[in-house]
Amino acid sequence: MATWLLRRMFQAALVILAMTVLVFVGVNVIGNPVDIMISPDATQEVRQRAIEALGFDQPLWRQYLTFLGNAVTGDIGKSYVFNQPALDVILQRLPATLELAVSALLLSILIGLPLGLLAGFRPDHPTSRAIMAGSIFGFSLPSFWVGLMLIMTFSVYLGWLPSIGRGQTVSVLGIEVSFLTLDGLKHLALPALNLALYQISMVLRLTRAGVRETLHQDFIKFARAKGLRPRRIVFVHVLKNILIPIVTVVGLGFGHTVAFSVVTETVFAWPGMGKLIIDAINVLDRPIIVAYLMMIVVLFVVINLLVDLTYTLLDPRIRLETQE
Amino acid sequence: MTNLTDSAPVRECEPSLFRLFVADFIRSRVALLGLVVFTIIILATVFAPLITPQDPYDLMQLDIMDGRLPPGSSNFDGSTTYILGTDDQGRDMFSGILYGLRTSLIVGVGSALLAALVGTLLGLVAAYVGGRFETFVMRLVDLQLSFPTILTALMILAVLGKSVLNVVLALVIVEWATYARTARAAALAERRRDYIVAAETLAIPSWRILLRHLLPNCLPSLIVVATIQIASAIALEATLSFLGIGVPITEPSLGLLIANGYKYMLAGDYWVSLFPGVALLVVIVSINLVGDHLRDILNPKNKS
Amino acid sequence: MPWNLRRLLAGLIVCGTASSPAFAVDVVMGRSTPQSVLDPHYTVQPTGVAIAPDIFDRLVRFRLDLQLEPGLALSWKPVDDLTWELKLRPEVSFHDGSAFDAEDVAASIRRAGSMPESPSPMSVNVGAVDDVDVVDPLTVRIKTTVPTPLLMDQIGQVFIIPSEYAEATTADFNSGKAMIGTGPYKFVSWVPNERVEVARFDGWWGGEPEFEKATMQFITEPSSRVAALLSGQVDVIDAVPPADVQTLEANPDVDVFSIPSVRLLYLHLDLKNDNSPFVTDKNGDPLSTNPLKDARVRKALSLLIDRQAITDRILGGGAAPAGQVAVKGQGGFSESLVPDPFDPERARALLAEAGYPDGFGLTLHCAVDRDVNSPQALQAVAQMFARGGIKVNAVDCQPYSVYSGAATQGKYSVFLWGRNDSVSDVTLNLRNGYMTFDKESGFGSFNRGRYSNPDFDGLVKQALQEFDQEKRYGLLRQASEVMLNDTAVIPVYFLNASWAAREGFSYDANMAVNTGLQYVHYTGNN
Repeated sequence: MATWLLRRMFQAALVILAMTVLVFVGVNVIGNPVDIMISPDATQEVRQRAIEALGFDQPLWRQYLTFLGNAVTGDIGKSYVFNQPALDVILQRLPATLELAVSALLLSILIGLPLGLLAGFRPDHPTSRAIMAGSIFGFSLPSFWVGLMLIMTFSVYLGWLPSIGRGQTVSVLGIEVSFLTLDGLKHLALPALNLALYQISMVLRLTRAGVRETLHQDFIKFARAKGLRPRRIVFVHVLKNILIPIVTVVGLGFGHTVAFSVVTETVFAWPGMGKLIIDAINVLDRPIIVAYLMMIVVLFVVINLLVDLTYTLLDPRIRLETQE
Repeated sequence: MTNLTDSAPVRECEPSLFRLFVADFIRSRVALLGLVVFTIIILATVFAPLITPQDPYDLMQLDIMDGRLPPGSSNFDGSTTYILGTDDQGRDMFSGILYGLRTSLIVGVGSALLAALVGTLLGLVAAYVGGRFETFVMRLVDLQLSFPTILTALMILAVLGKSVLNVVLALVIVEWATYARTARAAALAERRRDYIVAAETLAIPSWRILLRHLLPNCLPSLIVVATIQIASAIALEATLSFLGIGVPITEPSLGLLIANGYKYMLAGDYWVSLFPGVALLVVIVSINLVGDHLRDILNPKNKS
Repeated sequence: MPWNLRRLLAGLIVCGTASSPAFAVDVVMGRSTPQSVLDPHYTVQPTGVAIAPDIFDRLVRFRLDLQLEPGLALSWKPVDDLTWELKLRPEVSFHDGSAFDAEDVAASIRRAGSMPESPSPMSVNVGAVDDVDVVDPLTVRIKTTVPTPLLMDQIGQVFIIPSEYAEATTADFNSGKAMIGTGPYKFVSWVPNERVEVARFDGWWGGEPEFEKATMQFITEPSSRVAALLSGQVDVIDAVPPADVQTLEANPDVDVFSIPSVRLLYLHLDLKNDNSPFVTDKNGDPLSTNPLKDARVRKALSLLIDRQAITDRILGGGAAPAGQVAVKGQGGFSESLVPDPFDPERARALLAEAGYPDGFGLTLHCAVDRDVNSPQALQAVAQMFARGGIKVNAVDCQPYSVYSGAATQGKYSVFLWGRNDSVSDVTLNLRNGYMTFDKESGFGSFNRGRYSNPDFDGLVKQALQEFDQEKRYGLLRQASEVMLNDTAVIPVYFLNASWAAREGFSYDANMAVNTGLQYVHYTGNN
């Protein structure tokens, strides 16, 4: 187990290294931030000095080596836009995004799982059909569109919920969170719902598919024949068997939610990382891109690790990769 | 089908399987409805040039003076009626939707299928072979999943230039990882089941175990993911096009039509965004109805 | 809801004490540009200076029509070709109570020039400054390296901080510690990417600021900004999308404030390459000559554009047809340069005269994420070109990150570009955009099309050294006429700048497209 974890860490480090090379090459083929941001009133001299000061006149490999040298000492670089260490900028925005993503995850499980179970057990019931039909809306409508509709309905016409920002936050262990105040919760409601819609449909549909499949299997038929209570069948036998694909997708989905919450964050002016990364890509703020991706790689590695561990808990027949 | 070769027994099943398949679809009226709608959509997009009153991609046929006309308006000399209205370029929405569907379906279905092929194969092999290969594939998955779609697409645009094919390529690169992870997860669960162990002891070749035993059992989860991924590929393409990394703006896909119309929603010109949205919804619902049913048919555990 | 309640209370107080001018009114602004860094000297990008003008004063103030009026400097005059003398405003104090004097001016100008590690440094405004001499506490002399008639326009952009903070780091500003200016509002707090809160500075030299407290909420998505205004979560928004102007105007709870701005959208033309990358013949094959080098062809393209149709239909009236690079009111504006009329007949004749009776093929480029509706406008131009016999091979709109570099490197043939002046005349615009590209002199640094005309160069060189404003404007006018008679670029339209406010608030629409609390007025709750 310990060696398995260590190996995972080592692999993660390799992934991060590969990622930094990709970012350097990738950003370099797209362009440089001076061309994007320089004032049209600037003289060539000012432009040239900016390019030199930021090191863009150096060959790419040298820029990369400089970066690696600094990275070893823990310095990933200063953002060109924020003029702050890139990692600080990211960490500052992490709580907002995590809060949003966790809320969306909870919503997707709280709503998706029971509805999926219902639709799976009674596939021909009108309610189930309605649920399945409704779930299609969750992933087929572009989320910016749904976001605007949510704002128009709940914010403009009904005036129930605010649509902008995080509202009142409280500091918990130095981290600002909004779910602990009523005002914060109100601000959280619409963006979380917007972000969760896709996940809800995904969880719902996978649950239903799993239930339908499991119900046909012999051990369930056997359990039924044995006269086990339906509730026990559902919660012990069926649920355990369908959780693996759901855990995978939810795990991945969580990472996705964090990484790609850009649309929701933009529409609801939520000060998180999704908005940050899209802005950074738009102006090729390389230190931010690198720092952000490092963070996300770590996040994905951790999630995958947890997912793999969950597999072994759910189904002891599954081995961890290197225990062969 | 005639049976000439030595694999005759397999071939012989095919017509009956096909007939079963059809019969099965006919029995489920909802799935049949989905299939019919989907077929109509495909036909309509294929024969779009014959049905539509306008070639929405031909700049000569557009006039901004006819821009944002409500449904049912006609152009200045009354020769064309815009039954679904027009967008800001004076593009007939009906024509635009049919042409846009073409692009969206090619991009969405094409990329989802390609990604499914690549991802499933890698995921299955990884689960079956294990060891170094599995580690390599799974870390590649981590890398890919953490890389922002937009950055991937931007890089492809910067290196390869802009084309529909490159959009498909970008989407495949983005989406294969989801399939790989799902396939591996499902395969891991199956791998230790008795029948696989039995097949192995019978010395059945690995590729056969993979394709004949592991794959069919992973299909149900994969089809769920795929039907959703087609939808999300179409939506992702819309986002990319909106950001200028997707299809050309003069040849809008369905998603781009929605995105372009979005800014007129608050102004009350609902048709610019709503009708393409409804079209997208119909397509995705029909794909899902067919997909759901396919999953039930193909699931080896459902055979009763 | 708290905002409604607050409005209601404010209203009640107005009714009760109609004669008393001072009562607590707060305002919430929805702004399109987020504040990324508080250090006012780090960059000239809006992400660095969006909120600064309300907290820090500058030497001059820009009037609504772009012209200068005294700010922290009361008067300024050139002593000789290389020296300006400034008289400063007495009895001005900073938010921390310290007095403003010449040392603060010197320190601020030096600091603004000393942050090279910025992709868009503030040094662009102080590049000509050689040295700042403090003559007495209320007099400074500024020495320049070259004659700089426009010095006040440029150093007037620099925000004045106390000299004690000359060594402050960006982190000191971000933490709020160094956020000390002489402006009407005091800094209170900053939540990155979300909002900045400020409070009234009672000691402001310009009178009592109107609002007790103000919140600036950053809402980059246009539709969300409009929705926030409609739902009453914010009182004022900037950058109203053209599509929503009419809807908002029809709404009784909301007023819209618009003005033609300095933001010009124009077509850049490749005049450099003999075989331009995106010019083809009618079959899509490369051409051996570049038709864009022929002034008649350029004029023909300009005549094919129905500017009024574009501003009416695509921009919903939120733009004005353009026939030159200066907007009316700006130095260098010429009454004789009217927008080219829509005249396909003459265009065809000119094309035939130039040897292209059947036209040729073009791919048009633009940025998707820069100016509102500019891809739509370019598609409309493409329609008009197509009807005029030009074969439009494609309209390719790309993210600005890809587009800007490629355009600057001359990889496009015809492309839509947006530019706005930050100064009161077009000297810098003409110098950087149209003078012959020359690495040595530094002229023509953004002359992407590589237009070159010695007559024009001569006129602009004179203007660059002309201290007499009337004479300078005359030279700039002449230069503009020379350049536009050559159709060096094809001006298409000037964008309107629009703000919207809820009932009870008004906004001073200004040509420089400045968004700030100083432009917001409380008009009472009727």
